[in-house]
Amino acid sequence: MSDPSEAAAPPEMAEFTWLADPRSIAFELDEELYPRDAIYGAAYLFVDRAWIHLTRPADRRVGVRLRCKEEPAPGALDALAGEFCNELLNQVLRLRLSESTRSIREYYMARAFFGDDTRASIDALLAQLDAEELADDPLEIQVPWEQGPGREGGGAS
Amino acid sequence: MPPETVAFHRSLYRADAVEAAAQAYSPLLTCEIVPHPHEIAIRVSPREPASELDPELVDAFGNHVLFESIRRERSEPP
Repeated sequence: MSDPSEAAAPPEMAEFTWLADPRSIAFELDEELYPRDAIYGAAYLFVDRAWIHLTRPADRRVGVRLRCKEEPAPGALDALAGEFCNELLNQVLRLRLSESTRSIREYYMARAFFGDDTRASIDALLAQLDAEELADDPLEIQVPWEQGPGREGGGAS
Repeated sequence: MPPETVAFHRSLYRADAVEAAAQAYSPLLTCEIVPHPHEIAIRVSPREPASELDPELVDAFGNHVLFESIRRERSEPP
């Protein structure tokens, strides 16, 4: 029989190891918690703010090194890394939402492109327009403006 | 300053992205691929032999490779 504490062991938490030098900071992420697409998403948003390099220190782990483009003010490096981590969480959430709503989005897209309900409703509207009585024109909308009131050959006096 | 080697792990960076970045930076850097099983290692040196290698330029090259990798990865259907 296996040790119950072993079986119930939670997944390893993300470890943020700050290896700060004056201009750069590095940390490792667990790819089980932060999928590669989420890391890409955060990195994509930070390429204009920092020099970013990704490494693979171990299987299923991604190393992130952020290097400030300018000489950082005191605390700016930690703030940058903190913002990156916040964006990382945001990207993970977006990814999960995107995955959980994938089937319904595909359903709506398929229905929009391949369903015939829309065509039927447009046909019904066209038929309704054709059937409308257009003889009455109390506002003289159908009279060309050249023949309108006050013009030569105009209908109104 | 001797040439610097930058390593891009194959599971995180795309080979075609490295090639695109090397092409884009060819007026400034000379890039030479160093064989490696798990990484795309690039030995970069300044285009002008007499000049010094600017570390910022190497960092910018790395960002370009990352940007191209992400862009190309996203443009492919899942």
